[in-house]
Amino acid sequence: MQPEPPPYDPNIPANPSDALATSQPQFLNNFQKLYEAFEVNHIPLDALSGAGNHTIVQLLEQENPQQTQFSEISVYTKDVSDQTDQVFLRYQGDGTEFQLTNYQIYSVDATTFFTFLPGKIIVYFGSFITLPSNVLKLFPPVAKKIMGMTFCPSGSTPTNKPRINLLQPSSGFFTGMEVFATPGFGRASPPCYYTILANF
Amino acid sequence: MSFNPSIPLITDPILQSAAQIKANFQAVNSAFGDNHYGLTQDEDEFQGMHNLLTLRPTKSGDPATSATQTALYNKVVGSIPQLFYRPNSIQTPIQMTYPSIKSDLSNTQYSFVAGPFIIYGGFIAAVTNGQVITLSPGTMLLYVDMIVSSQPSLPLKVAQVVPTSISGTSFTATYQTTTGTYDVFYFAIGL
Repeated sequence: MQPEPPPYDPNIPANPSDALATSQPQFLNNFQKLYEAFEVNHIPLDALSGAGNHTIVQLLEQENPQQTQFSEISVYTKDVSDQTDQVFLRYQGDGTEFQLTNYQIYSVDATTFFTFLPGKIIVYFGSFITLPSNVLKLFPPVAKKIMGMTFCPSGSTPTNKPRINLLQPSSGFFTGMEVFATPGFGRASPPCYYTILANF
Repeated sequence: MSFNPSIPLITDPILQSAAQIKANFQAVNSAFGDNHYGLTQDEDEFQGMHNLLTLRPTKSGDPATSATQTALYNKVVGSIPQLFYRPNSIQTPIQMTYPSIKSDLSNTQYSFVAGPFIIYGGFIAAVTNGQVITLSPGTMLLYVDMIVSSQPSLPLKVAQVVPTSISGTSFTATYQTTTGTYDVFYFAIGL
């Protein structure tokens, strides 16, 4: 088995009087180590064009918010409880830090969808024709606070804009809401498209 | 000492070059250690990867992209640096961030999507018919909707509410009935 080459050494040549015969393998090792490290995530130093550009950006998990000076933006990853590492962004001058991405760990069906906005906001959206017991369930049930919503009737009674009644939170999370018809249209909710914003 | 790409000269004695070469190796090590896993750190498998991306503003505008390139960069908009994405083949740059965000479990919050469009959401208690609601931060609203919400412990209230007189970041809560106050949720998009 070949021995591992020594790591990059920023302190060579150790002595100004070192003979080139001593320094030359050290130089070669440093150049090789630099080349190998640089070609990870970057176009290699010996590429015919584009050397220095990134190919991908692999972000190693950080423990704390990263500093930013004036005019700088910082992008990095941190571990998020109950998720994997996620991308965070921090505004200039050590400004606000917020979570930019989320890990989608839940399934969806043909009419029920969700996605995320920066800042740990989940967006539930979809449509329904009828609701069992007038209850629109929120899935996944991770909503700590309902932030806003919109319902658009999609059936034959466009003036029948529904009203809602939030269900009591369960273990601190909102699980859904009752959706009722406008007076004059009975109690059953009209078919609707909907969007609901919530913090999670 | 900063990196010197012009050493050694062919006529330099090795005694002189040694210190210059060492300084260059140190400068490379220091510069590469910025944003990247360090060259002298223990885990070979991480070398070349990034700890973070500190993006400074581009000096020559939006970067050009070839047919197989995309670019992620910092461009200053109104003195505030913003994250931009440019698709391949120098297509239109897209601003990915807005200068601020408010997602703090309060009753009035906002976030953003690429554009950037501002996504407002909020809850307002006891809104009267004709009450003007002004959202912050100020933008031009492109979409607004409202819905009446009942408190779970109270009888279901009966009303429809629609936003009217939408102007700038303000709109008026207009009820189907002109009496009573209602709790409402709103959802809006601004640019």
